[in-house]
Amino acid sequence: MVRSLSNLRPVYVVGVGNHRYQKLSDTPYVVLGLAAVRAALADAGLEWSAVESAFHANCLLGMSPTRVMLRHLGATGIPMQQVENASASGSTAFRNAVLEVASGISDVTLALGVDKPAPFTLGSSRNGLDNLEHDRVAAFTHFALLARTYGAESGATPEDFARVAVKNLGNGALNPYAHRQQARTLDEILSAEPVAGFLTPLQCCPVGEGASAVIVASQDAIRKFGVDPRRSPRVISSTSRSERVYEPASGFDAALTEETIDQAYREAGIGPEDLDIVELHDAFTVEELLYVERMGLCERGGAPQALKRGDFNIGGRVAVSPSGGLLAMGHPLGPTGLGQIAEITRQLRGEADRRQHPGARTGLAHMVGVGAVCLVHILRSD
Amino acid sequence: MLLFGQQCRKCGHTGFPRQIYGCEMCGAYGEMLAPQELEAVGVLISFAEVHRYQGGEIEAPFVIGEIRLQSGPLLRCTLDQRGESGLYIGAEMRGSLTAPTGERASELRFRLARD
Repeated sequence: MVRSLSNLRPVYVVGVGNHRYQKLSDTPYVVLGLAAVRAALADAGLEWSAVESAFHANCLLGMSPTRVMLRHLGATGIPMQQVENASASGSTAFRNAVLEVASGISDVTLALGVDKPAPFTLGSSRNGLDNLEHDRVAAFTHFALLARTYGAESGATPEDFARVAVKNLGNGALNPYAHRQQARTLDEILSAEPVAGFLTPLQCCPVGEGASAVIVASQDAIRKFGVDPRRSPRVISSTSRSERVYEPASGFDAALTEETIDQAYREAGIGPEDLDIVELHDAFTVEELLYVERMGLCERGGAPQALKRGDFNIGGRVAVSPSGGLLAMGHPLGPTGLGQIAEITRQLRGEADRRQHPGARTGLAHMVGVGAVCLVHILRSD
Repeated sequence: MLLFGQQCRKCGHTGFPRQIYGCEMCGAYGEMLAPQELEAVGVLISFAEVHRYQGGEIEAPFVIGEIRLQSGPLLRCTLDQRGESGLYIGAEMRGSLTAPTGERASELRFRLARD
């Protein structure tokens, strides 16, 4: 019999911690990771000895970096493993941790994302097949192509795309963990030379280094260790899908997102009208416009107008990427999906300081990863 | 100009580039994937001039087009033109071998069919 998360025992986020996302530095990855884990343990009020397993998301650190880092927390002998799923690595580590607690295998599990920029090769370049793209379609070009088709379908202008960056860079300026912490005007964003199509540099996410840690636990563990249940939102959906063949074949990112989101809503028993916080994969500005529509946060083609009205601002109808999103908080790969969970947790607790969205009770995290995969998690505070 | 693709004998899905690993629609593989030559003609779905390129093959700027072949598959390819002038979504496109000035070898690129 197939079960979803709602059929298993409840799982709660009890601790979150970050090391700021930043430009590549001389700081060893071990230092980044330990800072985030220790912050998450302190946030939960737990000792390392309470953690029963660890999933470490990273893409670029090389083979087996996990125990080399976590051994400095003490020798407990717990299972540890690396998780790689491109941009969705952190989201996948979180899903693994959640399912392990939900299944009853563990009571307290760590999902940690740590990464540092390094040269890499995509597996697809070694698949033995030729194509006509060669190596000329970088991620920003892929999304510049999508921006062109979205603009043609919806009437969105370059200013409409740039407004996503104005909002998210403004949010990032309020976030001490963000890679970019400077608000920008529409003119500043649009005045630079595009990297491709009409995407300018500030409409593309920075890829730097950093760390995010999330600790999940069962009700038994919350009682046993005296964790504050009011600061422990429940994970009410964990959904993971991969790309199918879509007709028309263009814009698979949005089609895959729509399928995954629909499955997540069904599992959680909620709809888009119930969401207060959304952290989504806005590596490029066009993505926010595409995905908020596929999530049902506005009508199809209506994202530019809804954005302009302030629907997606902190304090608006639903706060979209209050952390600053990938565009401002940044996209260090392994940590990114876990940083989303950390932000949503802080928002649902009412602990997001100047970024606090009033009355936040339900939050959704969405990531896509090259290949392509899509993961969605929904958290709720009772 | 013909492109080497294949058609699945089980579900009819047409794919490009040619491979016998397996049909991405239904999973049939090997001899179930019949070689098929696809006419290098189609419609422009999207396009973008690329200003930043870290590879060593060609010089930026260049234009990438997304083209749906008449036979069905979608592909991305360098366009045989400078800048985005004259391009529009829905334009008829045609592929041909070109030898761009100053570049090492000829390669398949698409251009506006009316040129």
